[in-house]
Amino acid sequence: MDALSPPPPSPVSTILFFLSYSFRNLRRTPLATALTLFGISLGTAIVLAIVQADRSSLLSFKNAVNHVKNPAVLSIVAPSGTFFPDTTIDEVEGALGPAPFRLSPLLELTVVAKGQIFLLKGLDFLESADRPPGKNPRDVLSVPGGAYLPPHTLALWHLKTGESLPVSYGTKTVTLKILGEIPETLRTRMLPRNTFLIDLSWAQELFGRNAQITRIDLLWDGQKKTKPSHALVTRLAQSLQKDLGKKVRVLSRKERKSQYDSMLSAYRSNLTALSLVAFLVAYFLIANTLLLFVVRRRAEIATLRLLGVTAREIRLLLVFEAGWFGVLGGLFGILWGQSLATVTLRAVSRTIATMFLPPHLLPSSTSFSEDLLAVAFSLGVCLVAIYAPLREATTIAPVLGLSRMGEEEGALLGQKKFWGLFVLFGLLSFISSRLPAVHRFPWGGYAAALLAVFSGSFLIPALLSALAPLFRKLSASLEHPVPALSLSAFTATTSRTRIAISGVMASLGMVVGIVVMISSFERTLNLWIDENLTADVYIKPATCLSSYCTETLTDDLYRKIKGTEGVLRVARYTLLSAMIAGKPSYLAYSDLDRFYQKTPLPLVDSPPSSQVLRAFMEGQGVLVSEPFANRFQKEVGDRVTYPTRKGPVTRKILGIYRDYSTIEGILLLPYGQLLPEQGTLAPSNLSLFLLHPDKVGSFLSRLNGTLSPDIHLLIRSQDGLRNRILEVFHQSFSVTYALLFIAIVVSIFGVSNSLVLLLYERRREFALYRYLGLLYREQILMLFFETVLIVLWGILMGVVLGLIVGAIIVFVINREAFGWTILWHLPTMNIFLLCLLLFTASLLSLLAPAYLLRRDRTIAGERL
Amino acid sequence: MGISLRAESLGKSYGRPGAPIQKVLSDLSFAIDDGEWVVIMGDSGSGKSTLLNILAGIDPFDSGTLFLDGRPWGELNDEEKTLTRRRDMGFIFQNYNLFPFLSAFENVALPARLNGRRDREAVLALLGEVGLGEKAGKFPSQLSGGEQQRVAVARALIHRPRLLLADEPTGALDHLTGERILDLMHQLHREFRPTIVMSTHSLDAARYGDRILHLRDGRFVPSPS
Repeated sequence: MDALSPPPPSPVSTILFFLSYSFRNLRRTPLATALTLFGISLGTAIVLAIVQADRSSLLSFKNAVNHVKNPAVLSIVAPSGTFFPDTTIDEVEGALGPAPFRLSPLLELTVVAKGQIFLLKGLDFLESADRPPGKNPRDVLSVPGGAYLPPHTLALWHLKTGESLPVSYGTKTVTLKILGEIPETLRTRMLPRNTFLIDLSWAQELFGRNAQITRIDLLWDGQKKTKPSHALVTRLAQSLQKDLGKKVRVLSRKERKSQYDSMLSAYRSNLTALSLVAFLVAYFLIANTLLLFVVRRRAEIATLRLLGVTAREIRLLLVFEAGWFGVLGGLFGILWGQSLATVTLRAVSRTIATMFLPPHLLPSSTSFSEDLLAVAFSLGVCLVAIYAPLREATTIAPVLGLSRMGEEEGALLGQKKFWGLFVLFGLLSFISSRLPAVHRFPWGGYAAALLAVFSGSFLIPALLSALAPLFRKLSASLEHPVPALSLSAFTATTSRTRIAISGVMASLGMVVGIVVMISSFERTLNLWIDENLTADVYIKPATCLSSYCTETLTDDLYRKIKGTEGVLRVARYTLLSAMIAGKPSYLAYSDLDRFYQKTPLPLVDSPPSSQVLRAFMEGQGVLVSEPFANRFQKEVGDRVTYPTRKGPVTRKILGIYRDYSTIEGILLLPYGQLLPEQGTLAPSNLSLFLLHPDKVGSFLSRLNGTLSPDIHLLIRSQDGLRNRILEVFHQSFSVTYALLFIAIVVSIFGVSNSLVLLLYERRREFALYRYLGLLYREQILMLFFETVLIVLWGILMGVVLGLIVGAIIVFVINREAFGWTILWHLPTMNIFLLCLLLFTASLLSLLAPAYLLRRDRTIAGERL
Repeated sequence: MGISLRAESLGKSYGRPGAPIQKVLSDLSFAIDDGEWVVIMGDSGSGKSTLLNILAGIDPFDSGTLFLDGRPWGELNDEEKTLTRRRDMGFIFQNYNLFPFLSAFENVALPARLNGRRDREAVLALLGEVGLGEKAGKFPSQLSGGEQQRVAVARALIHRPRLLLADEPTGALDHLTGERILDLMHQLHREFRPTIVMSTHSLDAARYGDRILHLRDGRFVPSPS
């Protein structure tokens, strides 16, 4: 080695040099850096908001189920229905023996107060950990209906200590006395928004549930800071189940968790799908901005290579830059995420409220691990997004890289590759869509949707290049030079414009896909309502505001209504919750009298409906809903076991019917079997068929006159019930609508961001226009035409992609996640309006570049 | 017929708040007849490009007066200046500055199209005159530096501008190619008679002009012997 040659730099000093060089680059171009960071942080914020919403909703629901600070080791519930005798408590105590556990019995009811659903928990205050500290239990026991409320419930409804509050349950009204508030601990903060805590015995007496409870929790009462061993708990569970028999079910903590996991699974599956939307939109936003940031520096990279910087070192440099953006973008995203979380949490709350109780979702600040996740996501996406431009920047010859056309030559070199990738990802998408779900999680469907989006993004540059000669001819034929220039610039700069087009395509594609799904679902639901809502009047307890409730009507009330003048027929329906094959489901008993055969929604893979109905009425078997059949993997002819008060019963499945009321599924039996199997005749609701259906109003007046004023019923006409079902349907998509809105807004930001960066990168070109005598307004017109081309391309491809994604969601994801099939429906007008909205709003994104053009020194003020 | 130019005590400074003001042009006075080819010579930083940008109406001047064909240039608004540039001026740059996404034909045709003229034959004829008739469909990346500059010369002259501003037109070319470009400009100058204001470092290039003006520290100085 030449003694005069300096020693080669150490790897550490090389890395440090590139690290500082990359950071200096960011500082050198504050506008581009700021825009890039903005895009990245917004993308991160969206994902973080979804994560928070998901965590918050799950925690809220978990706390709605748990009512004690420390989770119960075991829980005892009824196998079907909800209530079981409280004499079971003595049996459990006897079975426990000296084992260090204490019992916490619970009666949970849903009641209605101030027109809202409330959760009422009847607790044994002498034993329960929920007893407010310092409160004398005798006060609780001595005051009939004395109730404690969480602070957020009191505040929300402006309730005060000492106030009386009438609440309805079933057809009765009970007055509660507010004794005070539960201290605000973490546990109580997460209780559902509307909660009453009262003494168990008062709950039983006042609400007509004498000697009944809904659950017994076993709490560890051993040495403090110790836990029972897994083996002990398992042995105890087996021993209790054996001693107590089949009239109750002993659930471990894991089984209880799987219960509400199961109940929440569909909702969380929906949220996961929406997370996918958010993730994709975020990814394209981040990838767009980062790609543009690199594309405009190709000349610099080429110069570095000419100076002797190796391709590996260039890659290191770009990775460092991506890293800076990832980390800084993630940190800013955490700040954004808090604001977005507030919006999504409100939407999530409305969605969950349609399925369960209104949750109390707190927009709490993110945990350290969630912050870390946000930064990791941002960093991860940036590093993935930098791969493509990094390869292109380091593989293209330096000379080409220095020439302006070199960029496009590089892009042209990859055209065949893009066609290949389009086909490959398209095939992978198709294959994924055929893969089965795992534990009802339609991962294949989600993967198919994701792969379809990527396939579309590869199609864009391939298609643009293939159509370039046509565009060129068109440009040459245009009379006015300004649109001709726009078209030429658009056609030639595919490596940049495809980035903006991809962003629009991905956002619109996901939005259209979901809109297609919602529209298809709504149409199917309307058809289903048309077929099933054939009665003239529907009656249920006034407090039964959700799809499932424990309140029932009485047999006497049924007979009274049946005997009312004007009534042709009354069909009864009783819905009970039940554990079937270890999963929560429903048993229904119905005075069913007909099925339709030739309808858009016939029986699924079943014999003719008349044959099925005859066999059903003769008690030869059961009917199951489509979600039930899919969930439990049952077909017509299979046998199914369900719980009754006398033990499990096994029957044959006669047919599978379409139902969209629950995703847990329903096992349907003739009403005549309700009393022998479940020991009750109480219907959950009644369907009235009138002699004169056109005189519903006068009939209702007559009915109200007949019934006692103490009986509170929810009476709806056919139209009223239809409207309510559709109202609930739309409410359940609240979080979907919120995220769709975010996706559209982010898409517009993405277009604007891309346009500004494109303009920034083309400032010398625009300066040349100025020299050639192009007026400011003509330059804006050029930008306008280019924006129109970008957005129109994006919309066209977005719609096509959206239809594909919609098909995947309707025919694959929906079926696997929820178990029901829905009919395809294309909401043409909605899609058109969405496209129009996006198109119009994207044109607003011209404001920023127009402003920059006006500011002489920034863009057009470049001196050549 | 070219544009006549007359400047009196023209001055131009650059400065940012808090930083010392830099005078680029100071008390500059000159007159250029229509059809004359004037060469501006000077070292780097002497203000040559600034002067050309002021003549083009790209940069405003701070003091003095400037008349183009007797019209006070400083009193026109931006739109009037832009339209004058479109109609009456052509530019040749050191780095060619062709549009990479337009072919040679399209680059040359653009100024004419901006002036509402679409004459395919005229464009092809001019490309032929500059020796690129066969390469009309090529893109700038497919042309050598000399060829690109010839396209730029054609682009600058297609719409028969009355004033041609050339900023170091041979600066990025080798001697032989630069000579060819200047020969071309000379030929087209004889044909169309625009006024030419050309900046250059090169004495050889300067000899093509009718007159040489030496710029030093923002002022015209007598020619060095």
